[in-house]
Amino acid sequence: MTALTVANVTKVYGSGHTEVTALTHANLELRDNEFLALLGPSGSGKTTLLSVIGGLLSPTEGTVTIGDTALTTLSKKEQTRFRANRVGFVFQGFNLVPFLTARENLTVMASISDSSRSEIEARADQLLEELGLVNRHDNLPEQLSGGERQRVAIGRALVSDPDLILVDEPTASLDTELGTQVVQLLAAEIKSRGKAGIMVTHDLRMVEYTDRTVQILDGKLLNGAG
Amino acid sequence: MRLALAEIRRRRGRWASITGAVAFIVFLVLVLAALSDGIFVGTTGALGSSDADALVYSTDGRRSLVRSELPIAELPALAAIEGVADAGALGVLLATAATDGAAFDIAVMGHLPGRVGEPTTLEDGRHPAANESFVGLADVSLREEGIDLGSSILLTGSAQPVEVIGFVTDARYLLAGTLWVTMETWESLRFEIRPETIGRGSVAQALPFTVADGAAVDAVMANVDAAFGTTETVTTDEAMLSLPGVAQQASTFTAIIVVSFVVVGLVTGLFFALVTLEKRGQLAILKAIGSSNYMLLRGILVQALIATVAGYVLGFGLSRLLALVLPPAVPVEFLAGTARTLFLATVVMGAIGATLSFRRIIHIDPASALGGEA
Repeated sequence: MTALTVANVTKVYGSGHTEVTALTHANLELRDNEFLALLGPSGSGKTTLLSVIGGLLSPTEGTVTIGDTALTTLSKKEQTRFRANRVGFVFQGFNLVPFLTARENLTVMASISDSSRSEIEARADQLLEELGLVNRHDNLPEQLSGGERQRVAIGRALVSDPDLILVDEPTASLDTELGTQVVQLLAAEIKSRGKAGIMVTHDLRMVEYTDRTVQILDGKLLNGAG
Repeated sequence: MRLALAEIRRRRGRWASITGAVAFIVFLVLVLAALSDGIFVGTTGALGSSDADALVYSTDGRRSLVRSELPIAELPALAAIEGVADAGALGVLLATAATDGAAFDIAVMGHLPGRVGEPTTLEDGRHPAANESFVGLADVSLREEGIDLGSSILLTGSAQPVEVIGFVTDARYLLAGTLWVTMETWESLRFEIRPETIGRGSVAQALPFTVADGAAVDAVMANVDAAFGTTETVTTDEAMLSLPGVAQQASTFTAIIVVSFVVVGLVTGLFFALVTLEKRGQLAILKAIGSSNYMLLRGILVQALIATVAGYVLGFGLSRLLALVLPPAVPVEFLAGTARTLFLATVVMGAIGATLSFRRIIHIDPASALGGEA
């Protein structure tokens, strides 16, 4: 089944002589159980596309459909709710809540998503085990290594059982070995759950862990977008 | 909610600072309020300790117990006015007293025993009977002058002492201890100490009265003034505020307290503004993963509530500790009603201050969480 359809999406920032076109008529389809790498240099529009897909930015033109929901027709409030339940994010630089333990950084989603606390707690415990964090569940982020923090971030993205996982430069703050381990783990978690995932990266070595690669340059998707 | 509580639990130092700041301001406000209430009660207690609804003054007395004079013979006419349930008489004589050689200021209050106007705050002993002369009730503050049950108080200029047969609380007049005697005794003392008043006959300085159940105080007061023609009738609250300096003291303290509460709001607002600025990235992440503005506001309000309630409790405790070490001469009254009002004001101002940072939160762009901006 199609997990994501990006149809003719254009994103323009500013207006008049300050106008910048970040995305031009982008089209992309992603199936369930598919993990895609979005590859491109800095300023190519990767993050803008990820933001539009995740409902964090509204496109100037075009539509984004996740599952059977046209994200671009939802109000801001509905998009926030949609993100809480249907989209998981893994950010650059981990971005965990610093005063929550590893487990609490996952179970915080019980307060945000519509899943019950018991569901979230059960999934959190399972994810912590799968991610090799059982012995670190009670540690604060400052007590964790970079790799461990990024694994917690992966757990947070998956704990509300979203349909789509959006991953932004997951290896940016890690060395090569740790980065590879994290992306392998991420790919395994996404695939084992049959979810769809998009990983923004400029690291070609990470591409081998994904099903497909799409390149973006100057706001245009270049190959394999469909 | 859990997020807000976890932040307080794990960032104790930061929350201790805002709690301490609120506690310090609450401490100042509570002490100021206690001083204000203490001065108010100490100044107006002679009027406030009775159950009178209103007092009648002579028009030329301009609401002053000292200046006003009304013939005591008018009392039956006042009692007969429709809506008046009970009427009494009140006189005040500022004098100097002495016990065991030590002199002190005293206000001798004339009243009619068993009638409205007498203090209802008997703490010890008994009220004088209507036919008893040169016995009286003393305000408990006179104990500091060595007065006890059975003590005799001799007023300067008077030959006959007054024996204390009971004590009342909160019945001072213009911060002086009071001695409550019958109108006959009061008149005798007045003639002795202020011989220039002898020619004025039997007068009271105000006629307090209560209003019958179901009667409107304002309407009865208007009836009284219409019946006498040369009187000004005011409620007991108005009479208290008309005492010299009372309204000015009350408004000065109120202004200081209001400004202090504005400071509570500003301190809380500044604290949350700084915290919001510092947590901007974290808040962007929370918004990106689906936290609503409402959820974040609720968390801030919970944190403000906890900080202000904890600050209040701490400030309240400190103010009560101070009260234990203050000398008795300092007029402080810690009233439960004032404490409740100040508690509500603290919490409300804290919430308002915290809410000011909500505008900043609304404007945090969740998209900034991506691209490494957060």
